Amino acid sequence: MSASASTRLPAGVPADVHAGVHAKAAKEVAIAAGTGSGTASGMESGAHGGLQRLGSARTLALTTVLLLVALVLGATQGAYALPASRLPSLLWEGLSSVLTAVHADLPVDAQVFFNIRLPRLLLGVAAGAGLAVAGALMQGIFRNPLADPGLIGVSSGAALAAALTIVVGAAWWPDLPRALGSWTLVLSAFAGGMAVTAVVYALSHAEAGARVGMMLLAGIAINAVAGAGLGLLSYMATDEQLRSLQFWLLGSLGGARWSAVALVVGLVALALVVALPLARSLNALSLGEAQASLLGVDVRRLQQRAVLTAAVAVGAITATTGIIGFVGLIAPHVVRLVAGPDHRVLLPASALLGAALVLLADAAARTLAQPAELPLGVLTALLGGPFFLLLLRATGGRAWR
Amino acid sequence: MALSFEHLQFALRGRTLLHPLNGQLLAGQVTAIVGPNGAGKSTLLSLLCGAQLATQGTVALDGRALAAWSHGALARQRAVLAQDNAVAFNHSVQEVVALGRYPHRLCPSRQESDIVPQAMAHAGVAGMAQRGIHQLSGGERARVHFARVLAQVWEAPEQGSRWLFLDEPTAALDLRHQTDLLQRARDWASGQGVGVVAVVHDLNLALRYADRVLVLQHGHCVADGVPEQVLTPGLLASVWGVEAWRTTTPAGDIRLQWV
Repeated sequence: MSASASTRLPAGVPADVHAGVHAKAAKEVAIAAGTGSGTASGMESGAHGGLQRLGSARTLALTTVLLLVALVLGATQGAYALPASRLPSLLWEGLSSVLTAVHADLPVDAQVFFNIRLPRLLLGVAAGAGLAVAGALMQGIFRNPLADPGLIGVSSGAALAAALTIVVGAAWWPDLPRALGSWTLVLSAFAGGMAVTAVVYALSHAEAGARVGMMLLAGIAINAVAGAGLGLLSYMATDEQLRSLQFWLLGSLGGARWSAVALVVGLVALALVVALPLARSLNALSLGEAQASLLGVDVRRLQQRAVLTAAVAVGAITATTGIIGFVGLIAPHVVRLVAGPDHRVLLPASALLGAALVLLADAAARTLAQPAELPLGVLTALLGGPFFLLLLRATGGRAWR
Repeated sequence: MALSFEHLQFALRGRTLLHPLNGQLLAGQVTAIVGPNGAGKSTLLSLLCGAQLATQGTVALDGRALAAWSHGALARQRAVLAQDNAVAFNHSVQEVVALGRYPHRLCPSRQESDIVPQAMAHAGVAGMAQRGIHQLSGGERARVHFARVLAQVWEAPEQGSRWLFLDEPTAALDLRHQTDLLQRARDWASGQGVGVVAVVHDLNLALRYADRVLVLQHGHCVADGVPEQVLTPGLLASVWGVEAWRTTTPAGDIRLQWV
């Protein structure tokens, strides 16, 4: 058992000597955040070299700092560069213009900041936080670190509905855009995500017992069917339709209008309010459904809440931004590697980290190929994948052993 | 202060795993459930602790049917150590033991912060508090879960009895830890009035630690009583098909030998 090699050394050896790579990686993280000590003594390390983990306060501080850095980067970078030193006064000018309802005399940079940059940042924060928390919830419910919010069908349902709207919407439901206007795509995608999740959930409850296993399999089957529908619709689509469908599927924060942003931020905030108190029950579920139930957890209600919360958050996000992959999977993973699997830390820290990741990926998407904008979904995976692999190597993949 | 059951019966897909059974278990006693593989021991234990619903019949804790208890209230009075204790994520030992306090989260004890460390000490896992549960051996893990169930029923409720249900608690343990664990359960029963119900395979452990033994065979209870009187060579021959004889330890206790 090579896993215990570093944990069975004599107590006299200083922790940071035999903790080796683990301590080093954590040290770098601690240094990067400027949180001080940077030695193994700052971590929760027991006698005999226990788990090298950042404590909950440090983890939350670190992810908060990361989010603040990402916010400043996201606010300043882009086609119209804004100096960081201007940000406080821009915020103040914008705020006072809202309060006094005088808009005419705002300088150009304030207009860029308030009408384009800020809603985009807020949408990025909400999207990242919502996807990451939904991912953590699904991993907790399925007791599987590979679970993803898409597993319950919400993303593929939203994608299928978006494709239907783009490709055949105008022909089949000509009245829809007239009634819903620019909200047509958002609302139909949201409805599609919720509907497909409801189908997956209903199928998994057809037979008592083995509910989570059924949900997983039903999700896989329904995802395949939705994928087929998406393929069929792409085949039917005109070149122009195909292009807008592809654009939607790759994800973007470009559609950030204040009204849509308010909706997503509101729903994600609601999801967080519901999700955070589930932390202890999710910890108990780590023991398995039977054991959790013996500890007094109402497992079925916990599953319902988690699935509904994840579906609402991911549905709203996906409907507004398109598919942003990978964040929901890796943000909770990274937190677990650094801070351990306690959901009381995992849920909030994943939200902060997810928000930071999406903002950083969006800043890169806007600046790498200026003046063009790369698709966000491409960037999250392109930056997230290698980062994740590096972290895995640095920690020796200990979350899985 | 008792756990009583009437006409308790369990069938799965038309196959009867447990034939109608009546009886009463007392808090403050260690009751061992023994029998060959597939005799219905774990089934009986899961019905008694409320993990599974009986096909017919009822189980009542302190005079109230288990079905009438809320999950939470039941969890504050009885803890269950199962055979399968896989933990999905690599929680630290301390985190796992602290999960035993989940039922008390809304109404914590006055000594709440002392309970988890003490429970770990009782199960002999205090030294591995910060290690990951996935880094432990099977026996170490079993003791961590024993600490968790001890933490769960650490203090007596304001009214009503406390119960520990242990399904083959010694299966993964070495000789020393087998006796340590059962001695701890024995002390909790006689010292604190906790009802202990344990499925065990080693009949000598039942002889040494149990006040009462229930012998199951093919879903029937074929013997019930004080271990020294019940566990005879004749019973071993008829239930297990094993030729055994009795010996006496230097201390004068009866043990069984076979092979």
